[in-house]
Amino acid sequence: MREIAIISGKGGTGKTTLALSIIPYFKELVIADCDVDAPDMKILLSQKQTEKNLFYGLQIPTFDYDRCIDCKLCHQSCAFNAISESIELIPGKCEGCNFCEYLCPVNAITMENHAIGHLNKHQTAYGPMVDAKLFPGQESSGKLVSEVRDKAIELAKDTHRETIIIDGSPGVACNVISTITGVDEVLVVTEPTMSGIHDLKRVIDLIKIFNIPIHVIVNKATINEAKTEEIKEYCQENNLKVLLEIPFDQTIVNDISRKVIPSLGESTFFKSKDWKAFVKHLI
Amino acid sequence: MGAQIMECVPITEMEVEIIINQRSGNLKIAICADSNILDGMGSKRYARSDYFAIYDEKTLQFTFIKNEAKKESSGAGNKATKILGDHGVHVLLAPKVGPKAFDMLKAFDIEVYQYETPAKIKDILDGYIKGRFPEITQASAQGHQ
Amino acid sequence: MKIAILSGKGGTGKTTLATNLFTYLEDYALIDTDIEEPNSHLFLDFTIQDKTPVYKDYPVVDPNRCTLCGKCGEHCNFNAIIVTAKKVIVSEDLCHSCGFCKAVCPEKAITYAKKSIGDIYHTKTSSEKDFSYGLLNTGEVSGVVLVETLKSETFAMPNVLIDCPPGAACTTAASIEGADKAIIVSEPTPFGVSDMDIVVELLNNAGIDFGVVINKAGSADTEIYDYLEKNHIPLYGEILYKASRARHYSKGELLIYHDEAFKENIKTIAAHVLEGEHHA
Repeated sequence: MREIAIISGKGGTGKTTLALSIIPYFKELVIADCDVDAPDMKILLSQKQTEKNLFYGLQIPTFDYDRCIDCKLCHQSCAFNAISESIELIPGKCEGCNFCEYLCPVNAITMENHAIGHLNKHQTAYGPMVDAKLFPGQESSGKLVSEVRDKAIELAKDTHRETIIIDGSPGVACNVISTITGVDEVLVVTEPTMSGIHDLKRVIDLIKIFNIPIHVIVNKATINEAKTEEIKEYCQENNLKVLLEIPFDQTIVNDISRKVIPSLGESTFFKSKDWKAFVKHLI
Repeated sequence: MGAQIMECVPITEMEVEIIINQRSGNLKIAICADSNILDGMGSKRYARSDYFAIYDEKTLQFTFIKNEAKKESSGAGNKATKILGDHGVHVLLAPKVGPKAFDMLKAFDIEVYQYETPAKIKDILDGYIKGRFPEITQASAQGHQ
Repeated sequence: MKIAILSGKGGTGKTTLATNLFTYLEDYALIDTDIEEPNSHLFLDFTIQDKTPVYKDYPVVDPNRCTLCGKCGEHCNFNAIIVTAKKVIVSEDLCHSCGFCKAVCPEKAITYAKKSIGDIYHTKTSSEKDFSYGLLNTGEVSGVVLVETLKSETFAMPNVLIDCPPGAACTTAASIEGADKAIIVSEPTPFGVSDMDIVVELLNNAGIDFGVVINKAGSADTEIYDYLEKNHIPLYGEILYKASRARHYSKGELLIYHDEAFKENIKTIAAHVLEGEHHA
């Protein structure tokens, strides 16, 4: 089984667009959309949502007001100010430490599993897909991302499929780490802008200790050729390879709007030598 | 290790007492596993593997334990190491471990050796006994290769 | 007025709007609460007045008092404190500073020490305006404290623009708390529409009035306009996509200085956002 993860550091560089574009070239595929804040793959790929399940992430306190003696110990001791003076939970602030339950002198607090999002399965033309969406205000932990990864691996085993393509989370936090642990290759999509380069460096610093082969892809490369050169120099200095440069192409944007996978759409880039060589490398 | 290494005897899951080889010792060796059968595959991950297969050199038996660390929101590596520590594991065979997990394993005096995937659990144990796997030291855990 | 600028999807133009609006408005301060990947500072001309580390508490175990009973490790929900046969190990990065371990230790062997989780930069721009941002150390488990500290030091000012992190996770929720109004920056693509839903929900839950700015406009995609109409969400303004604008952005330049039409867009957006409000 082979896992390829596509990440970006900065949002909006074209990670999902690239992930979508490589999908049609693989046989026997499972797709994992690990961008749990904004799972976008389904917009172009999902033919049918086959499962939607609540996902439980942490435990939050519930209060038995018949037992409560209003000592306010829980309110005073909560490090996250998640319990108000009137002994009500302030949603979004609780971090699930369970300290209040331990402290309550009259056992008026019970911890209960709290749903933090949905975990879903979809049927697509290229194979089964797993994605998830966090409810607003939640801590974006690696747990939900790991769950998407695990479900995808399970699906791949059950259906005897060889490859998993993972659309990752932007950023540099634990959801990115959960996106890439154990994968065979990471593709980092960046753009030739000051912000893009700044964030590229931060994400490379984060993932380089994992010793997984990393390849860089410069998207919208033609908006600033000097910055594209800067990226290539940075990569060379850090023993990384820029595997592909994609020019800015309005037809790619139009294809996405028409809900067409760009590599199957109108853009001539996907008929080019560079693209074909890139696909060959991946397969 | 100082013990005689004899020929590796092929094993089946039907055997209750499993004899990998005639080597005796006192070590408990844990292998990251994707499933709880001996013919199953070693895992590509440490902290979020599904099971640990623990081989006891004294009894010559395998025990599979479910990895309770897998479902942790954070600190899965720490919890996995604690689980192994509580089971008295001396050696861990893993695909790779990060620097933080390595520090925790060291604190539990667990030696770590690195296998390559894909590989079956029984082949991983065999590989370790034949001395084929490099030990993961501080330097290699930090990604220096 | 305290105005939060956010987006569901990354890369729609939050920072572009925040930095240019900040430059246009004379009496506003700017804070960048995207502490994982702050970008506003790349576009502004400023001098750092001070750099303050933000600390969190983490447990330190006194080995002379510790009996290795294991209670601290048992109760820690974050696996940040682990008891071996010989000693107790703390993984500081994972600690949420909840106080549980210290409270359960029967030997009172645990005290708290402080560790830096990141830094806050207070700066003044070349036109003497206030600009602050934060940077979280990579690997740190929670940025909420950093966002809250950043805000507590700047929210005393009457007029603040908040450049928020993308998405609707806990750092964004912490960023918008106390805001009077919000601007969602989106783009006319299916992703722009889909990802807007979650920040709309976040803002509705928080009871904050908001409108939308459509950036990189000009495609034939009407889905987003239909969405705004259907949900009665005001459109504060539109900014057309132009290659020249992308180029200026890529160089880290403020568009308001290079593009008259863009400056007019900013004026329109500012008028819509501030309408009905008195500002000095």
